[in-house]
Amino acid sequence: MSKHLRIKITALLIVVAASMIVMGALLTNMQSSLSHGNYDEEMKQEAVQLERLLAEADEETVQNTEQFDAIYQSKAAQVAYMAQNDAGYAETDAKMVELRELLDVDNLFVTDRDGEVLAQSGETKADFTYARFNALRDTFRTHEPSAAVEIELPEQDWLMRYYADRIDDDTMVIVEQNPTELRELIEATGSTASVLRNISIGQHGYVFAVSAKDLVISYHPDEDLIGADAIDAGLNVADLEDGNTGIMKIDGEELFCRVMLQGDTYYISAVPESDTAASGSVTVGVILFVFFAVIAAVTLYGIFVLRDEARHESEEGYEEHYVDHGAFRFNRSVAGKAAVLSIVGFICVLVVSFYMQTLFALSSQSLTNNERVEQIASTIKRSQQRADELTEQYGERYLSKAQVAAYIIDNNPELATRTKLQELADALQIQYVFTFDDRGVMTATNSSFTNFTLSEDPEEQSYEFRKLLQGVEYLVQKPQPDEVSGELRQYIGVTTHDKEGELTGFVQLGIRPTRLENLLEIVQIGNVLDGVQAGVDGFAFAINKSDGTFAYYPDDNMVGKKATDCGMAEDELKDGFSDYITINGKQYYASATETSDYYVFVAGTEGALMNERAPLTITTGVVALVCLAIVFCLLTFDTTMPAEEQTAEGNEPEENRDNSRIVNVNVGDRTVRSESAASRWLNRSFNWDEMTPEQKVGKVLRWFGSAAVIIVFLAIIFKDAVFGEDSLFSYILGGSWERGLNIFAITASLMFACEALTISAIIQKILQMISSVLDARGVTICRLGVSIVKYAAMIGILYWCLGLLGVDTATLLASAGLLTFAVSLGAQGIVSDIIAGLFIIFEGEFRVGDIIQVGGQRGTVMEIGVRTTKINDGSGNILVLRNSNISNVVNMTKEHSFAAVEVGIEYGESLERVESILSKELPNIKDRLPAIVDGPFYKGVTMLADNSVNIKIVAECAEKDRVVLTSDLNREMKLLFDKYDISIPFPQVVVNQPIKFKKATAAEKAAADKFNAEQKEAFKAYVDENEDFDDFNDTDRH
Amino acid sequence: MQTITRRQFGAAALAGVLALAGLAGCTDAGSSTGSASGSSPIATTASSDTLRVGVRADIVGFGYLNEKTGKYYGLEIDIANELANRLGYKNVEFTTVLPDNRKELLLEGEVDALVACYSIADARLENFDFSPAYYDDKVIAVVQNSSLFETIDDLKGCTFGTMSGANAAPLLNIKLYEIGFSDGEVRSANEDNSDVQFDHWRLVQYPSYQELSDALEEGEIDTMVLDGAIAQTYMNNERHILDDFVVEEQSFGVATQKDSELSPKVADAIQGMLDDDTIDTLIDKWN
Repeated sequence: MSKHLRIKITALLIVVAASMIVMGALLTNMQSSLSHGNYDEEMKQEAVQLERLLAEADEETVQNTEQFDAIYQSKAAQVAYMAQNDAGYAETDAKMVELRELLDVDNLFVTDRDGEVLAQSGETKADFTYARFNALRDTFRTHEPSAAVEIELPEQDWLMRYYADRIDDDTMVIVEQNPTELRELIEATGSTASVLRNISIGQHGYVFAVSAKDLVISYHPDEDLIGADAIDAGLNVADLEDGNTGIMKIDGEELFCRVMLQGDTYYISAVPESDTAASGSVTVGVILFVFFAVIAAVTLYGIFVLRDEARHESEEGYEEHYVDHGAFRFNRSVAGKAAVLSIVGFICVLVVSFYMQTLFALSSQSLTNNERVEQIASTIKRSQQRADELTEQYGERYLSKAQVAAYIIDNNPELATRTKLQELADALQIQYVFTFDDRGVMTATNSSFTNFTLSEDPEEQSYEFRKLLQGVEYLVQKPQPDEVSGELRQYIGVTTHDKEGELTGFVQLGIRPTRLENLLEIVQIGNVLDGVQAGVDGFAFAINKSDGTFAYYPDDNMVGKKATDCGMAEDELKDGFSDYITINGKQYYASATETSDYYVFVAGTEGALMNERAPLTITTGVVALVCLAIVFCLLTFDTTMPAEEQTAEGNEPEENRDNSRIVNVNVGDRTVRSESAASRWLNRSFNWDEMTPEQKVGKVLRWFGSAAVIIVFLAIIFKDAVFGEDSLFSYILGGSWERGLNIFAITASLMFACEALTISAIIQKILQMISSVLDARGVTICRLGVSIVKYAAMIGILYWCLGLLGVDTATLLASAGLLTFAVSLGAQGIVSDIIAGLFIIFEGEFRVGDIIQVGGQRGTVMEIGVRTTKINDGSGNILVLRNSNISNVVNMTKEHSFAAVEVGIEYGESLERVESILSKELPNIKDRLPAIVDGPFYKGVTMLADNSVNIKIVAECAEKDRVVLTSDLNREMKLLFDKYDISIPFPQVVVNQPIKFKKATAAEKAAADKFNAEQKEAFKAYVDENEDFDDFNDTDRH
Repeated sequence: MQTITRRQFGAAALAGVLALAGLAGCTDAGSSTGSASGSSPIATTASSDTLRVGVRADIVGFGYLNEKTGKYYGLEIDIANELANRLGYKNVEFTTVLPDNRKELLLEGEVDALVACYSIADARLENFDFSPAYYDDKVIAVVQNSSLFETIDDLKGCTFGTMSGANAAPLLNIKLYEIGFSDGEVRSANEDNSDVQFDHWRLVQYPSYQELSDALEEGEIDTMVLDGAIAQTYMNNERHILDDFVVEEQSFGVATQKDSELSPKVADAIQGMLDDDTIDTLIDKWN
């Protein structure tokens, strides 16, 4: 290689490396900034939502606390009511215990104004005389149940809330209750954690909270991190500024974060960088790989051509390749092909880039949507559960109130008056109290109802309460809309008894469960889906399973319409759907899931990622084009070479270049060098230097192809280790996308093909390795195995991919029978070929390496394929025979062949003399011709021919030597006969002098005619019997 | 660093050179030691290159020890680190001090300086040198919401709690006297003065802030009197600070041994941090 060339190659390599770096950096940057931009947008919106959600959670906490307090304040009031109305109240410890059980509270006390305990149901740690409990004493001033006083001393295991209500001016009742239930409720519904838990950003993004005061992580999805020091976990204090975005580190994990300061807490929306990187790096990796393959192919092709030319420089026509342009010259031979390669490569890069961007964008959107829709489904499930729980819980609470009411009425039936019941209703904090007698007639109420009797009609709401008169102790009716006002109302009844325990009727509470109503409202589908954020512009909607109408849609006008009328297809309404949908002419990318009542969809427009595809692809393309252009220029332009170097180059030794395997073939009007037929089927590896540049590039491209296939294969096998769950890759492999002609199906098909090809290639390689140590039959079987694997892989890929692309495989398989029939008609030949091939192999008619003669053709068997058998006729011509056409085979491998020659000697020659010479000379011939295994033998006179006496000489030899040996033997005989002056007769042409013939005279002509006529007449009688008479003449030629 | 005099620097440089000469035989270790002492000459004048600082471990935002990590965080920790940095120390060693023992630890030289919510008071100035104040604070009174106390006058006849060892108790007595709440005369007291009865109020002292806070939660005391900085740790929704009552305004400073070598340097360094707004930035950061 010349120095010049070396410099050029180095320059090229540098350019390639530089292009790769530029491209890599560019792609990575674009990809991550795009992802980050997208996430940032989402986080901004999330931040706004978070503010609202936190406020709502706070509101929820306040409400829950109020609700909780109200319950126990009411209990205090109930005791006070009993005391004030002499309804089974006494200022004794025993009574307190009884009432504690009835009211289901932790402890009950009666104290005087200062807080000295007068009666108690149990010991308490509290000293009500302390100023700490001044708030309880407030009830004497307000005549209302007091506010709650809470004491929390974890060291003393003391967590209690206290409520008081005034009995009279000197005494009050105090309820002690452990607020664990309240705490749990707040934790579940109103805490920061409960809010943040439900927020997700992108796929694995989340929000965590860090206290701005002590920088302790107050919430993180990873429970181990809660309570840890944020700085210690890796966060930088300087990053914690409101609105700051950037890469931060927590617990060794890189996160893309956005900080929001609210109150004294930093809320940090975070998306793991690995999330961005994982999918992004696959995209970038694939594009880079293709780009590298393209640029490497172009560069290597150029280099190969240049090196090839350097070798052939001295050859004719070399200078024609160059066109001079001043100091530079343009290499035409490189330019044409390099340009083609470059253009094709450039298009490849564009296509792959666009394809990968699409894949990346769609899959991340799918994943996000799926994640979100799953979340919604579980929220719906949870809220339904919660609704049930709430209904039950409220039922229990109201029942307890009703029981208290019954207790009060039992103890003092006098209280069944409008005013007293109103007081009771106030103490119970309910709307209406009714008392009924044992016939179901209302005796008193605080409501406006009068003269009411329980209905006899089973359809009526009140009918159910007749059960109470028949022995049922209590009845909690389900909340139901009031017949008149339509408001949700609930009725609860508990039986009352007199002192002897006889049934006297029942007390019924009429409740307007506003709180429950509100709570149930919250768990409605609309409430769950309202404000669902999916990506930048995503939203959620639900479709009723039963009638296919929209149960919820952000646009209220849509609710109630049939989904199919709005552009959705029937088969889109199913669990796990994930593809494009059209609603009112607008296209969305959506994912769906199924809940007990609804199909829930999360849909979004194509999103920024998709919109960014084109610019990204163009940018990639431009960079690729520039890089390719530089490489192209470097390849084709050259400084004019100094002359002395040319001569120096010419001296390069022509290493025995065996070009026998490379032949020139004409393709169209072009001469292309190609591998000769015979060498194509031989697995001899090529000597690199012997290849043409085209072959080399082909080989390199094949390497790239194989590398790509193997990488994909490995990626599939180790997908979990490399990409983790929920990555783009797993999504595609997981197959939760829609079957059909979409990018996921295509990708999955490609991936499957890669997998199948790799596996089949591995099996083929193994079989080839096995075959190298086996005998001929083994080789044949291995070859067959290879063929079968090859075809099976192809058919497998075809079927599988068709399945992925949405073709119904069951139908395909079913139609396989039909298909087979059709094929067997059309491809009958192929079938018979295959069967014939099997017979050839298993009956061992011949094997690879055998020399056979079939149909007049003779040669060495190179390969017995499934369909064809290839035979090398010894002169490099490959005979491809269909297996079914192989019949009447002469296998000439098994024994030795004979080379036979026949020589004629003149009749005049003494046969004995010839024989004695032969006996002397034949051994010498054997010495001269090593191909002879045995002989030559004299086989005697074969024929006394027209002009010669023919004798035959045969020699035993290997079949492959037979043709050559025959010629050699002929030569030997000629030489031998010449030596001993034995003449071999040969046809001799004797040339005669022309003779002048006399013409017939008129008299002679007349005489002749007469003679003919006479003869015919004379012979007439014999004609019929001897028609064939003349034929006789020609039959005795030998 | 600005405080190094020419003579000190000369001595330091000389020491560096000597160290270099003495260790010339050994290569790496010797030269690095030499250059280290050369580049931070102040280190040679201190007893070692570690500054030992007494800090609080229980006051969030000032000096707080994270049990999980064993590290301290807070304004005072940052100030101590910055101080050591400016004085040229390589390391800072933190020691947890309590109001009970911080005086002794500094006097005995267990720590070089106190950055421990230590307020500058005349009584303390007799024993220690203080840097300029880096944080201004108030001694305040915290009550439970449920006690319905809104003004100091509501607390007549009530029990006040303080932390023993803190200077809140004497300040409280003076303040209550000043505003005419009390005549300041002790009516009765137990032997260790942890329970003192005055005319209109009773003073109970607790060994730790946690116990003080618990006593308030339980109702044993009606109000607790303590530094505003410290009160932050024990505040919750159920408590509030009496609006109209400030016992004393006080300032935290870095305390060093009386007339020690370190005192002027610390004072200068803190003044420097005040001048270039380092302290303001840090206060911002921790609030």
